[in-house]
Amino acid sequence: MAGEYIILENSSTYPGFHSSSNGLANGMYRSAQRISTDRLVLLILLVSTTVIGLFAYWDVMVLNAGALPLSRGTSSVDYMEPGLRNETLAEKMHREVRVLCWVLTTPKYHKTRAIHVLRTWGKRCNKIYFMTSEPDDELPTVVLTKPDRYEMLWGKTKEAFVHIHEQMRHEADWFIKADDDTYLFLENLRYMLYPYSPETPIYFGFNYKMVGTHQKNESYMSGGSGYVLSREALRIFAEGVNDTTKCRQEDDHAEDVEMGKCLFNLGVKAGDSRDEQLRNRFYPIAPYGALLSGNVGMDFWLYKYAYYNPRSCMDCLSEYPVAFHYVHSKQLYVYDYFNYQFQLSGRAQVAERLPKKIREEELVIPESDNPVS
Amino acid sequence: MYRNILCLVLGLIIGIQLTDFLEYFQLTDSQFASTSITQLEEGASQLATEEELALWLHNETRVLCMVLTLPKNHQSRVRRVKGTWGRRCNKLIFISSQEDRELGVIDVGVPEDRNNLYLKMRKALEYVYRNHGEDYDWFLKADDDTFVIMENLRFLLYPYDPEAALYFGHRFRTTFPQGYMSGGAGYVMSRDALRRLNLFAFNNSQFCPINNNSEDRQIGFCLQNVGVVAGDSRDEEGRDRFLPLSLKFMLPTFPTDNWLPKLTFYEPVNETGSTSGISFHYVKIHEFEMYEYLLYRLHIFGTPLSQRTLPPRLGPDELQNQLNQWAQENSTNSNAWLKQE
Repeated sequence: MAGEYIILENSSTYPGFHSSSNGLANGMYRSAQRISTDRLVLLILLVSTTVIGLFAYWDVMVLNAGALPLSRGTSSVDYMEPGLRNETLAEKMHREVRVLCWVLTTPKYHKTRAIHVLRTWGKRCNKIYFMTSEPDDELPTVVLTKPDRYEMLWGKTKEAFVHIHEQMRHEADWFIKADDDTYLFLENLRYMLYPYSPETPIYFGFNYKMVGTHQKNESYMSGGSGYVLSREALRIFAEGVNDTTKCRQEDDHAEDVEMGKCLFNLGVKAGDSRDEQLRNRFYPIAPYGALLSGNVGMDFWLYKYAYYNPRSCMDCLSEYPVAFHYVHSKQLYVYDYFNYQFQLSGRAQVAERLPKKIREEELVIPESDNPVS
Repeated sequence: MYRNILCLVLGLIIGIQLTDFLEYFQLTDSQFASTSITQLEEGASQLATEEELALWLHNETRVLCMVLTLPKNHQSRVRRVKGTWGRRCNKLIFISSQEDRELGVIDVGVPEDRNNLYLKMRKALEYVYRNHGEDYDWFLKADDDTFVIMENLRFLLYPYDPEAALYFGHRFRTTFPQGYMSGGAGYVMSRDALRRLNLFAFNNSQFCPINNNSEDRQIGFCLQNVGVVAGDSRDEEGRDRFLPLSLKFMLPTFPTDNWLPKLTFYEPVNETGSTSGISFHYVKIHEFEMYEYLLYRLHIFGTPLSQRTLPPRLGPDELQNQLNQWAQENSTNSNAWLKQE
């Protein structure tokens, strides 16, 4: 209709042109107009459809791209196997660094100490056994043959480790001895042990200077805060403990000192358990003893006997402690409560990474640096 | 007409697409930002979230801490409170009978005597109201053998308006219906509660008589008489967050062989240890640093901290309903009553 209107206009203005070629001109003009309009409509529809399609595709791509980084972003640990995305690092370590705990106790302490160990940190061991002289239905006990006297500690310890080697050495990679008044943070122990192969003959604990006649680089580990042997160290000990030239055959004397002498003579290395900032991780006392620096002079017994130079201040306590000693059974629940149950938004979250593995030939154990004597 | 329809359709299409484009640009921008942060530093997002939340809440829910002490404890307990949990208060004031400006101890002029604790507390509340009554949202009373987790206290208080007449603590039952809050576990009152005490209770010998009764019970009596409601501070599982005894007695189960099960207002829950615990009592001097270390310094390797969201603020109607409900509450404790003189 619009086209016709235009044609009429032309006709009235130029009568001569109209009369001379009316039929041909009119037909051609009309045809061109119709084709042009149709093309325009088709073109616009096509472009619109294409644009909508492109946007839809782009939306999908954006959503897909956005999902994965966010998912990874919620993880607070760097290292994580692709197939075990929901597993925490602690759970992975529980599988990969297997720790067998054995606790030295006595029947009179089964109900007052040992049972509380089992209900708190003991459940985080891969395996736990209570070395005692009478069985107990509530505890996984191993009954030793040695009599229940403090002066027989060394004898009981020998028997316990030999028994574990004979019966349980396939249950774990590392074997830790603790008392029934020790608190162990198993996750931090695994973190400390991770770089080392269980086939390395090494053991860790709080390093004391050796007593009596000894070589310069000889130390022993505090019995109270516990010491942990590698599987290879355990084998060497179990096979060599009966050598009269290397290990004391009588059952008396201090268990931790005799253990240190024996392992040294058998060629087991006394490892350095301190963290990257040279702070101890095994503590032969409870935190308050190490913390109250204002109340502790340099005549404090720990400073004299420590193999590595101790410094007593707030910043000298490791963020990843492994063991504390002289922890009352009621206090075990306080440690559990504060560190495994408590939610606290003021507690700083740190990015955690697994340390590198150390090959045996790369292992360097620092010499004693404590000048106090 | 053909042309008009065409223009309309085309315009609609262009408009819709432009809107989508703008929306997705914003979304993509935030996502990319999140991604880049994650790539730069793993775990940084969670780190920022938790610490920023605590920092933000520190300024959002302002708590003044009044700690009652004695001169002989200034160099031991006061110093340790100041160096540990007291640092996380918005304002920390020690109430004593000898001034010590360096430590922030004020003298309220009441001689030290067990029978004077209530009078001392009244003087403290008067001092705080006169000097800081409108500067803070909540006012915490604690002893110098109390340890308070200020972050968890702020989590508890955040939903409530400080202009509501309300206070929280470990609730005990007694001869008057509302009961009172344990002094040793600490109690925290709103700005309006403090105002009501000072304007309507302390000058009224009927509402708030001066006597030799125990401080926490008498303050509870005064608060009840001026319409301050005792709030329920327990967590979602009914576990106490303010503990009137030391942790050694409160973990892992509720004690059964002392006075506490007879005196507590709510029916005791056997499994103790609230994940959002707030205060502990009878803290030994050496335990202040120990708790500080165990809570704020020590890490368990490979165990990411669970993130929490703030509970929502209560609107005026919800808050009023909650206050009414708490005001009408009766003790649910089924144990025999503690004999009192």
